[in-house]
Amino acid sequence: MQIKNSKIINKFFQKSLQAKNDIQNKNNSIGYLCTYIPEEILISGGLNAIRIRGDKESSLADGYLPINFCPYIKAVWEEVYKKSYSLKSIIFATSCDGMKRLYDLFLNYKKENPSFMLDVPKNYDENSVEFFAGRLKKMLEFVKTISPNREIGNNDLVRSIEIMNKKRKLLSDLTGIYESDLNNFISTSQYFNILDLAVSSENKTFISELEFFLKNIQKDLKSNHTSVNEDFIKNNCNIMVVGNYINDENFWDIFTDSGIKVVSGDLCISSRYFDFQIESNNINANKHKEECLKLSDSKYDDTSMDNLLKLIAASYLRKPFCFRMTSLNEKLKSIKDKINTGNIRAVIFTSLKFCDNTLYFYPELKKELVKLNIPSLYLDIEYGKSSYGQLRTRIEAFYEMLF
Amino acid sequence: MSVLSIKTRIIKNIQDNLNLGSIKRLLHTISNKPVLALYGSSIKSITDKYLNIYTIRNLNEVYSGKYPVAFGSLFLPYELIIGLGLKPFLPEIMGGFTAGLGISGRTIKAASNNWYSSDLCTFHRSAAGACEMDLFPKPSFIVCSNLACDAAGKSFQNFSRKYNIEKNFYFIDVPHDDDGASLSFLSKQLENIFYEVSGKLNKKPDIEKLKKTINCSNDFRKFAIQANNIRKELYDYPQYFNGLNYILPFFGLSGTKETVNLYKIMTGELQEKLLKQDKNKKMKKVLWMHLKPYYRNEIFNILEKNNCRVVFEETSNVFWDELDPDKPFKSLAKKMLSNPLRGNGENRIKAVQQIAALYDIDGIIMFSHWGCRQSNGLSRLIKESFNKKSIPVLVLDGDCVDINNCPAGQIKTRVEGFAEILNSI
Repeated sequence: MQIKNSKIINKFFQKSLQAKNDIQNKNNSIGYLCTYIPEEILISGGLNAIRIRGDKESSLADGYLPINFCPYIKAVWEEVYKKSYSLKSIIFATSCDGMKRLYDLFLNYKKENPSFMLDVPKNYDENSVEFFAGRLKKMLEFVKTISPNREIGNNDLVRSIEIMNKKRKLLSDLTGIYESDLNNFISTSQYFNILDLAVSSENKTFISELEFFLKNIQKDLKSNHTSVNEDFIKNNCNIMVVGNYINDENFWDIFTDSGIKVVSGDLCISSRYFDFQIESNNINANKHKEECLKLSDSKYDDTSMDNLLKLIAASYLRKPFCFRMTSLNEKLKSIKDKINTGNIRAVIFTSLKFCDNTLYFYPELKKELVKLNIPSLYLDIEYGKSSYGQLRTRIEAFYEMLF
Repeated sequence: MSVLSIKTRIIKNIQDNLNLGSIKRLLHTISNKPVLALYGSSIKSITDKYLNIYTIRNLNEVYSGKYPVAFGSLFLPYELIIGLGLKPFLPEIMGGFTAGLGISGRTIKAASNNWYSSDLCTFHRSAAGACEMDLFPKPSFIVCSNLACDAAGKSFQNFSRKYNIEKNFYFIDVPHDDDGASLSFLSKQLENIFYEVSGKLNKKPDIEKLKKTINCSNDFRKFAIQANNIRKELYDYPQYFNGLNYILPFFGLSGTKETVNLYKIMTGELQEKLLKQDKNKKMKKVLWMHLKPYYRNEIFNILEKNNCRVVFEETSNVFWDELDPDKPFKSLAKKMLSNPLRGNGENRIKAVQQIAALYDIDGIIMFSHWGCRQSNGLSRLIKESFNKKSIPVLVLDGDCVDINNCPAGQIKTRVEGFAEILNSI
């Protein structure tokens, strides 16, 4: 078991880590704030796209936003306002009320920095797809003005789609390995660290390192498939974590340190980010087929820019839903399906504090979990500033109850 | 019998028998003409009297079970709902009513028992609790939008599951920007709802009825503008008049004849007051932003005692153009898009700055309601924008629904301090 005790990130993702740090100094990246912002478009002109993670030590933001406001948004404002890092631009989305107010602050205090607000519909019917495609076109025009390649063509966009499809596929493969790994080769912390790197490093470097890592780990898993870690199996049960932007090393360390494996995640940094592909059938997969574009079964047959944008729009609006979307029943069904197929024993619902979209979802989820007789734990956490000792006690006590 | 004693008895009755059946019976009893007449006779302001009677009658119809009811969020184009022949019921407004009736403690507790977090807006939490306690009439449809905030879209969808009418849940997605694409996107949604709901009601889509409703709404708009114009010079209001009590007719019942009458009466009464007003009377003019606490409180009395008068409310602003009955969906979409609470905060700031200039405002109270992210997130920018114009802004932290989350002493100190500042300018 070569990998088990090594530090995966340092061993396999050195260049990605370096690239992540270099972004602070190179003026070649564009920042974004929501998984509904298609990276495909952001990178199509030669820029790198990174998810803004924010400064978790926020204090200044309290003077700009109320106390009972999303800690992630505050952290982003802290980072954006305080630091003079070299992002070309920031792309906002109409993810939630808080994000709209963050954009207001940006427009008011950071006038000199170019920014764009992407209007993301909450429905995913044909009318919404059309509308969203139009908004993506506007975003593309904006990206052209700040990219090295100001003449982004159809081929550039197709290439970007392929890069992102590959990244998403590899992340899905990683998740498959992580979730089915009975030897605990990859710990919960390590898994989420890799996911974080996926959105904060340079695409090509990260993809090539992830590909290499997956080959290695698959090889290791094959050679060790007979020696299953009996202790781990005996003392473990499948836990699912449902929540929003839970990107907090300290939080995941609680699971790792306590020997608890999160087998399934429904989070902004997990399935909602990568569990879909952009293919021509995304656009036809709805009840109004006749009104849609007539794309053939092969990928991107009709590569006119409008068609590509519509394809991206449809794929993003129908990807694994965020709580912001008006797809409550579908969302509940997808979680119930995961519970059934993943043999999930318990659910931990984790929300960043004051996230309305997430908090309104919980009552309905809880009712369903009660019906399914699935124990659940509700945790609302700060962004990087939680009382981790208290969280550890609650998580461990909950876990003990399951045996 | 005085209006206060009738009101007190009604409230006591509701508090003591908090269930759907009792509410229905009570509404039925007090909607009886002699009782209503008795109730109305002791209200001094004729506008207030009409508002009270109209609200009771409207609620009695909604609770009667005789009409198809549609739950709707606050900023919907209710002309569409009324034009469809549906009786609108606004759970957020009812959240405010629970405060006035002194039952919000119980409804909020019911929401907590059903896993609604205490970090959420109490209008929605109280409504969710009331829904869980089965205090609302059963809706046939639920229509809501993201105009102003995300909360309605979420809590109302939960209601659709509670009533098992998920297929009759409609979410109107109001775009962030106001341009041609937004207008077409939004009008298409309104048109779809109109035809789909007509179909579900087994009715032929009645465009003529919709046009009539829109004409009514235009009449209401005309009187509301007149009333607002009178208020530019008015200090001496009818007793208990508060613009923040008119949210239901202003938004939820726009398009009914009764709302036209209400605003016609209001225009007449305010005009009369203006004519009788002492010409030398001067008070400090206050603009109220967001909503107010709907339980008994002293804020407005404190202001008056300190020579300050709320002369206008953000929610009384007629922000939309006259509607075109021949283009109903486009007109209603335009109305939604012209709401200053849509889009960037700049829209809201511009709108309140215009109001402040029109009403020669001396100071602004922005009520910072617990959990209202869309509004409170803008408080710093609003304050700064008025600082540039030397108009003081008081951001008053509190809760419109939960009295326990709004310490009266602290509020009193802050409002008095603010009034002192205004009077020293």
